[in-house]
Amino acid sequence: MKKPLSLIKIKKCNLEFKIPFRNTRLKVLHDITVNVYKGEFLVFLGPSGSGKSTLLRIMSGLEKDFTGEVTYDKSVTPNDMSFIFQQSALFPWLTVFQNIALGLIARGEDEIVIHKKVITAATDLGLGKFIHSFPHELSGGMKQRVGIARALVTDPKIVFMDEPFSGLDSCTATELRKELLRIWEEKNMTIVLVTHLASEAVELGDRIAVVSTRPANIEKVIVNPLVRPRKNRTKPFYALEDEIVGLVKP
Amino acid sequence: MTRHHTHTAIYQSRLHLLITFLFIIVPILFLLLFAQFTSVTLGDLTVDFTTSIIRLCVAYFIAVVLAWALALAFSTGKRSHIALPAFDLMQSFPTFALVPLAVLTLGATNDTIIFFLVITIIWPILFSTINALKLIKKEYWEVADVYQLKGYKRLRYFLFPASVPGVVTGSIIGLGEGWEALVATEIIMNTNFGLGNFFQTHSEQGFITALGIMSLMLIIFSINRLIWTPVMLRVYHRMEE
Repeated sequence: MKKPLSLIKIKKCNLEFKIPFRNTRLKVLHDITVNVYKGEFLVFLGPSGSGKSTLLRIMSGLEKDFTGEVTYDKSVTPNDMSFIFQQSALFPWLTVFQNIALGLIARGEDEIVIHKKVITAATDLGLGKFIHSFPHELSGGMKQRVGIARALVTDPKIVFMDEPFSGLDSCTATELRKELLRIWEEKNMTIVLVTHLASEAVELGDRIAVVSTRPANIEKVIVNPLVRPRKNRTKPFYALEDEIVGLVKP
Repeated sequence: MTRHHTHTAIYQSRLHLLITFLFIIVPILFLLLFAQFTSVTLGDLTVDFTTSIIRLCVAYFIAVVLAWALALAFSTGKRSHIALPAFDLMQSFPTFALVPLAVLTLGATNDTIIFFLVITIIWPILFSTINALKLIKKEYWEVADVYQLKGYKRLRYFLFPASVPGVVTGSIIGLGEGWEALVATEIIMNTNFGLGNFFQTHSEQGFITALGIMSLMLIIFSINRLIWTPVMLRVYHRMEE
């Protein structure tokens, strides 16, 4: 069997934060070693405050103050990576259109191309009617859709997602997870998602890396045996969820 | 790229329109009555007021551009560790202590007055803009980094809009101090035109001085209500998440 291509290799990654105004340091990550394979949906699951978001920031290049190695496959450039934030992080002074277009504007794409791509991405995520709205005029779910559209409009190879559904009501979160899976399958990209919900990890992940409490380490990487589309009210689903919950230490 | 503007109704009712109209009419009427009941001509009043407001506008424009540039350059990173205490020291310096020296070396010119106005107005704008930039959420910096916003595009789509509330707040405070500095500098420099000249000429006529102060307050109040209040409301509304 052909070995899958590693887009990101993380080797013995450690990180400590200096606590301001105190002469102490907080160890956040301890000897993290993990690979991200091309086309997979990798989920990091761990308790709140364990350091999984920090790990995601390291992988995406946002956090640089660490020791260890993070290497990218030669086919991956910074422009090939996108990030979906927990609270959508839309610029409040820009319209939905401008927020989605941000990555394309930064790349100096042609105006006509930007317009076409933004309208396509917005329509795909049900944002067609809100294209001229400002973020404060949108619901939490709609804002997160804009965040997803902004991340996907540049056709990234890797998308990092930091608990993107945690601030949403369960119905909206369920709906968005379905849409995310549809888009992931259509676009054949790699997704790295961080969550503290075992059910979300089982529903979405090809592999689930269970992260320990701080300082974070990888307890175990579980290959999800459930076939897609996954039904989340079945015995195998619950069994896997229980197994994972057993590994997560609060 | 295509810009899409949202149209906001400025006047929400006839009463609103009427009140706005009154903010323009009342100061003019007051000046007319002022001229009618005193020995001061409307022409003199207009010349003095126009001269002063032009000086203030020029100084404000220079101060806002300088403050914005300095704030963008020195608000974050290692440079801010040196720049911020230096700015604090400079803003604490008693500006008027330099006026006699400036008059002696540069003369009592428009440029000298504008220079003193700039070094009075700039500090509130600078510190308020720095504060606005420092308060930008970490996620917004990360968005700008992830999407590789650099150079002019980083300024246009991220740093300029994020710092606008600071510029507006600083402008309101700075111009408040600017009016005071304007009159004081014009009096100290003994200029031929301007509000300072007006107050100095009529310094022994209490009634005229009182009317002059009332007119000035009415004008400042009207400018605040007509320009700064709507600008501030709009800017803060635009920053809502």
